[in-house]
Order: sequence, then structure tokens, then C-alpha cells
Amino acid sequence: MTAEAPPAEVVDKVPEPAPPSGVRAWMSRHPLAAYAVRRFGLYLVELWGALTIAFFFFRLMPGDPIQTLIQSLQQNYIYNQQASAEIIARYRAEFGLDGNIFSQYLVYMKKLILHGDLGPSLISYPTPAQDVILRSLPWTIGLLGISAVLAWILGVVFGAIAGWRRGKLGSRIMTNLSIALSHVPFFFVALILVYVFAYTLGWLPARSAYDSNINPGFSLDFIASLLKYGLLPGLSIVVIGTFSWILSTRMLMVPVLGEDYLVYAEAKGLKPWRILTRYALRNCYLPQITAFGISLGFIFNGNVLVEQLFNYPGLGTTLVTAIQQLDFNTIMGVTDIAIFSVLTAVLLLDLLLPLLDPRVKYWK
Amino acid sequence: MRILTAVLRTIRNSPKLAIGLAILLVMVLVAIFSPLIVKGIGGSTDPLELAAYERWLVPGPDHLLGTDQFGRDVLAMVVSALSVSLQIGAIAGLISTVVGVIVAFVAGYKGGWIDGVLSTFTGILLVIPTFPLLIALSAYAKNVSLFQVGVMISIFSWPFAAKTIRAQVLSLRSRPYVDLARVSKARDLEIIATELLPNLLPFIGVGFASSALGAIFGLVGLEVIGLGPGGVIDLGQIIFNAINTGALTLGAWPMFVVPIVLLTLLFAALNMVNIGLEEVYNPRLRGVAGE
Amino acid sequence: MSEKPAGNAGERSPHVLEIKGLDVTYSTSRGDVKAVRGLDLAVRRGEILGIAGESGSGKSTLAVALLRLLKPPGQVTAGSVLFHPAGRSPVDLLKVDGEELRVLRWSALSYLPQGSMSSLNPVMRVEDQFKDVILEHAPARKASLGELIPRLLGQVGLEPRVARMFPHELSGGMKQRVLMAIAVALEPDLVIADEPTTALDVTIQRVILQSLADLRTDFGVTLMVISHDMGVHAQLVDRVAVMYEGRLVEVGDVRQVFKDPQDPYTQQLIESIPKMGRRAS
Repeated sequence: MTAEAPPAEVVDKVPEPAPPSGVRAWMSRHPLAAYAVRRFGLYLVELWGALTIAFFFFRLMPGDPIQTLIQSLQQNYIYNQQASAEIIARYRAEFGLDGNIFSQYLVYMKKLILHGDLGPSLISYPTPAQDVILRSLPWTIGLLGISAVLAWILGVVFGAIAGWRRGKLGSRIMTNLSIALSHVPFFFVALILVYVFAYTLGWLPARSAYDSNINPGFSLDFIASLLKYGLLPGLSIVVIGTFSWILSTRMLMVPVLGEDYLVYAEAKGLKPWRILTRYALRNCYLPQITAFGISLGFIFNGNVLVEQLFNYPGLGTTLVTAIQQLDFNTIMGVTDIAIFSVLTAVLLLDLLLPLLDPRVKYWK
Repeated sequence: MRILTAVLRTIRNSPKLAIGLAILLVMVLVAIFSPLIVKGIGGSTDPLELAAYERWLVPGPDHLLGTDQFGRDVLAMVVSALSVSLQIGAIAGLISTVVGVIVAFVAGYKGGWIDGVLSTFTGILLVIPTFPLLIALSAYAKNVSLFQVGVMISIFSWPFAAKTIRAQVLSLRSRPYVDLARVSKARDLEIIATELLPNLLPFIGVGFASSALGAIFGLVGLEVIGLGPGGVIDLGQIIFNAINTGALTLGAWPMFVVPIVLLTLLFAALNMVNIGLEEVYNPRLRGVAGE
Repeated sequence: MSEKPAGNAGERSPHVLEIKGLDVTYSTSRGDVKAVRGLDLAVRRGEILGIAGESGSGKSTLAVALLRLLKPPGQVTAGSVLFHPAGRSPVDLLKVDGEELRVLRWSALSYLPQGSMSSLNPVMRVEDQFKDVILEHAPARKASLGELIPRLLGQVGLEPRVARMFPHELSGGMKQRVLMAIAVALEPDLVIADEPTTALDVTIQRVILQSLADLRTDFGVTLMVISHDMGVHAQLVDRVAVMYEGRLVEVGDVRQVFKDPQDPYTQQLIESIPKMGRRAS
């Protein structure tokens, strides 16, 4: 889904008469279904395009992973003799590195799509890369998912209030703070937070995801430990994310406040809170839903650095380790998962939008 | 001359723009004169040389910001690293802007299927997480030149510039004077050069400033996790050294704090320029972005 | 027109609204502009009063000021507007604020905006836009909403299914009628209608004017109709007040004014309408 070309437009007229026959007739009878089908088709194209770009990008990168593998095997198993050409060829086949790049591509995509198989991981050979990734996935979903949603909710609410009370001192402070901080990279805040709260004050831990003395499980201690260890990395994302959403919500809010229906709501003598929530906010949070989907990739990028800085056992840390070790199947796997998750989230939000916004026309 | 007075008037009208530009100007001057400043700090010795001084000296009159694990003067390092960071920003900003402008013009002005393909492509690059690709690229790039690093980062930042500018091209394309130029059979290039480009300059400026900012911080981000391209010492590299060597516990706090403060200032300055320009040239935003 | 003699303060006044010496000023960077100057006008209970004048004459500013919807840089600089809601003590509309003003709105003083404006919330169903205002001011009617909303819609000639529709599914004329039905939902004392027929096509204008006249008969509301269109006044109103450059230049019985305009500006206004005066009221 591109930012400026959603296949939707706001209309002000009654639908035109149904076109004559066939597919188009069906589409005009089932506009929502037609929209969903089109949107899903676009999703498949985007997914295929992005996965393909990622595949060729990594394959064209210099470096020979098999040599690295052999070296690490030699170290681990005290493997004295030189690897024979036969062994190398066998590993090449196993890692999907035999044949020319296009046949490699076909094999890779086939395994990925049909079996969800990303090939063996190099660092933890012979564990498949997908298993390595699945181990770290929940951590990222927890950290990034909760932080991103929290930042969005806080940002939209405070942004709406900042717009509503524009001109007032509190609102101006909030707005100027948002201008100053809205695009600061997450990791930068992470550095400062670590410096202040972990290093100088010593209040909170700066590394790992939970206290290693506590057994993971559904105990109160463990959950408390999770929260304590997740606070700083979470804050790094939430603080900046909130400021960005405040700024953009306020920008959407101010024009809405000048709309006729707000004047009308005031003339109706409704309570201010009701006008803010039912009239103003309801008309400006919808674009922010689309914006949320589009921002996910960007948040993931920032999250990679935050996880690495806090040594948080999520996808980002796995990715960085994999890159350091030239574990290309895992690198590609993490990238593929990130692409898949972001595009799928955007798709789901786009499909959700017609249910929330009655104005939008979803057929052509 | 007319352009100059217009620029001056714009700056006078927007305190944000003026402050941002002033901070930037100071930084650029420091960067330009960094070789002289470094020389001034070191006197007869090169303060950036390994083991130029004793290691881990705390800040004092001889070394205002102390020395690092190799006995280099931290102030001298910071000054030259600032210059490197700014150069990366300038190179990557320039490349992203040029690519962005070309893509935006072709897509926005030509429209049709060309726009469809280019916009979808730009859109995919904007939405998917590209940072893994950048980390991988950077990790394998050893001993690259500053220019190559700039090029590398701009590969990932041009879509942002392209998106901003395309939206403006679309809104300008439908203006009456462009139609007029078309009717009078002016060539596309002529219309772009004489009618569109001057009106887009402020937005191109915004595109440049934001991609430069993105590039500087992108590189710092890579450096901070220790995966920066080898051979380039920018502000991020100094922060990484500070974290990695435990400089904070050795009393060498300037190695961490000073680069962070400089980057924050740089960030604030470029952000103020961006918002100032948008407010001046996009009256719809005036009083919307802030008061 | 009720012509009872004026009683004591608490009694039923023959007037719903008494405007005295109203001044509205817009402060701009190039000095102040007076949009309404020293306006005196009384609105009689049960009448339809028309406010005429070209654009820029201050008639819309007057409406906005009376509804207390004036936004900076607009400001009321002088005058009083005494409002006599039935069953409540009279209030100066310019002096009330906050909760007191909010309670007065719609149940006593309601507003009928131009249908072509986007006054209906685009993301709420029509019925919900009835509900919120009714429940705000008359929560006791909650149980009868299911019957009340279709009846109100029926009153302005709309089918009950319109209640389930969204504003973008309605035509301009339908929107205007929905707004009319909402305006009278709580039987207010006074409805201020700002250009109720502008931007509608001629046949629909006729129907809307008829419905407005019916509303007065059915609900006994007092209507203040602001329109630049002298034809609207000729067809609908009892009395007409003519504004020019912020001042009231003439006020009187609509037939009288059309037959024998006193002010040269009124004369011009009347002459500017093609074939007028045949269907006066």
C-alpha cells in the first residue's frame, strides 16, 4: 500500500447505476468484496516484489558463507583435514547455493512458500533458520507491538487534545516539544535513557529481557521482571512515537475544527467532551490508522537498533548476530518475516478501514 | 540579487528558520575549518595520531575533553568527526534529493502507468523495513571511502525525498499557469525548469534537509551497534567507542556526552529549518505545525 | 401574529428576541471592521422574520452572533440581545456562558444551517445525529426515540429509512430537510435559519419553503430566515428586515415593503429580482 494511492476516494454522491454485466456488474453489486479482492491482489504483488528485492540483494552481496561454515565447523569439531570439494558441494546444495542465481531463487521461493522453510541456519547448524527466528519473534512482537500501539493511542489522544486546546499554553508546549522530538531516532533516546536511568541513577537494568535468576513462566515475579526489563527499551520507542503521532494528529485535527459540523455540534449544545470525541476525533483518527500501518516498517527499523542496544533477545538482535556471522539464511529469514509482517499488517488495516469509515468508496 | 533578498525576507519572517540556519552555519564553519582547529589543538603533534598523548586523561586545561583509549585528544576527534558526519549528510542528502526529484518529476508530471509503477515501487520501499538490508550492506563494506558510504545510505533514503516532492508536483501540475504553458506548446523540460522547479525549491530544500538528517543518523545508528562501515570516523563511531570501552566508568564522559549533544543540536537545527520552510511556503500549515 | 399587550418581566412577552444596539466588530491587522452597527430589532413570537441584504451586509454575522457562534477575530462590541424562552426567565444571550448557554441551545434556540454546507457529521448515521441532541437536552425521551425520529422525518417529507443513512448518501435537498427536522426536534422557541434554500435547485427550493412554513404551523416555532434572495422572503416571511453595510435600513410587513419600499437600497434589491411579488406569502 503506497502512502498516496489508496484505491479509495471520498464521495459525496449517490452511487451510479450498475454497469451492464459480468465481472463489473458483480463488482458494483459487491463493492466491498471487489475492494478486498483488489487490495489482496496488490498485497500479493507487493509481497512478491519485496521478497524478490531482498533475495537478490542478499545473494549479490560479497562473501562466501560456505567458507565461513567450514571454518566454524573446523573450530567446533576440531576438523583437521581440509574440506573436500565433495563436502563443500554438499553444503552448497543444502544451503540452496548450487546452480545459477535464478534457479537458486526458484528453489528458495518454492521452499519458502510451500513449506515455510528458510533453509538451515549457519550459526546453529543444522537447526533450520525459521526455528532460530521463531524463538526471537515473540520478544519483538511483545516489545515492538505493545510500544507501537501504545505510542499510537497516546499520540492520537494527546494530539487531539493539543489541537482542540490550540493556543493554550499546555497545548503550545506539547506542540513545540513534538516538533523538536518527533523524528529523533529511537536508538538515540535509548542511549540517553540508558545513560541516565541505568548508568547514572542505576534504577533500571540496561541489558537483557528478564532477570536470569527467575524461571520463565506464568509467575508474578517473572512478569514483573519482564516489565522492569522492558521499560527502558519500550520507552525509547513510545516516547518518540508518541511525539510523532501528536504532531500528525494535531495537523489533522486543526482543519477538522474549522468544519461546519463542528460549529453545528456546538450550536446543538452538546458537551465539549462529546464534540471532541464523537465529532472531531472520529473524523481525524481514520487517516491515522493507515498511517500506523505505513509507519510499522520504520518502527521495525528503529526497533532493530533498540533491541541490539539493550541486548533484547528479539528479531533485531538475532539479525545483527546473524549479520556478524554471515548467517545468510537467518538474515534473509528475518528480513522476509519483517516484510511479511509489515505488509500483512498494512493489508489488514486497509481492509478494516471500510468498516470504520462510511464515507469511503471502495470500488471503481 | 532578487533571490537573495527574498531569502533574507523569508529568514526574517521565520525565527525557527533563522535559528536553525544559524546553528547549521556555525557547525558548517567548524567542519570547514576542522583541519585548522585540529592543528591548533595539537600544536606540534597530531592530536589524532594513536598514542599522541597518554591514554584516558580526564578533561583538563591541556585536553578540554580528555583523551581516549588510544591517547587521542577527544576534542580534536569530535571536531573532525563532526566534519565527517556533515559530509556524509551532504553527500547522501544530495544524491537522495537528485534521485528523488527525478523520480518525482517523471512520476508526478508524466502520470499514467509510469506514475503507477514508480509510485508502487517507491511505496514498497517506504513501507518495508529496509534497515536489515542497510546493516548487511554496511557490515560487508570494509574500508570504503566517505563518498561510498554516502552513496550506500542514499540508496535507502531517496524514497522519502521522492514522496514529498511528488505530492507537490501533483498539486502544482494542475495549476492554471502550467496548463497555460502546455497550451502554448512549451516543451516538458521547459515547463519543468521555468514553471515547476522554482515553486518546488522550498520542498526540495525540505527533502534535502530530511534525507541529510536521515543519512547522518542512519550512519550513527549503524556505528552505535558496531556495524558501521570500516574506515570512517564519524560522531557515531566515537559514541560506539565510548560504550564499548566503558569510557563512562573511566571518567571520560565527554566521549559519550559531547557527540550526543552535537547530534541533538544538529537534529534540532535541521528540524527547525524543515518546519520553518514548510510554514513559510505552505500557508495551510502556518499555525498548524506550531505557534 | 400574537399581539398581546406586554406584561411583567416574567410574563409571556410578545417578543421572542429583542436586539438592542448590537455592534459586531472583526479586528484585523489593518484595523477594525464593523460588520453589524447599532442594530435594533425585535422578533415577535410565532412569526417568520426575514433578514435580507446582499453578501457582506452583515446578515450572516448577525445570525452567528445571535447563536453565540462568533469566533475570533469577530467580537460583539456593544448591545444586548434579550431572549424570552417560553417557561423560563428571560436572558441576555450575550451575557450567558458555559453550561447556562449550552442548556439553552437547541431546546430554546436552534439553528438551521445551509444544507449544502457539511453541517452533518460525515461519519454518523442520520438517526445518531438526532439522538445525540435529543438525549443531551431531553433524556426523558429516550424510550420514544424509535417513534420520534421517523415522525420528525415524516414531517419534512422524508421516509423513515433515511434515519439509517449516512450524510453522503443524501442529496442536497434531503440534507436540508434532515437539518430542518433536527432543528425542530425539541420544539425550540426560535430557529435561526441561515440561507436555507441557497444552492438548491428551484423546484426543491419551493418544497423546502413550503416545509418551513408547515413547521411554523405544526410546531409553533418562531423562525428567523436569513437569505440574500428576495424571492424567498416574498414567498415565506411575515416581516422582512433589510440590512445594508451592517445597518438595518428597513423593517416591516413583507407586502408593505415589497409594495412600497421606503429605502432606496431596498428598492434596488427588489428591482434586481426578475418577475417578483406575484406570490407574496
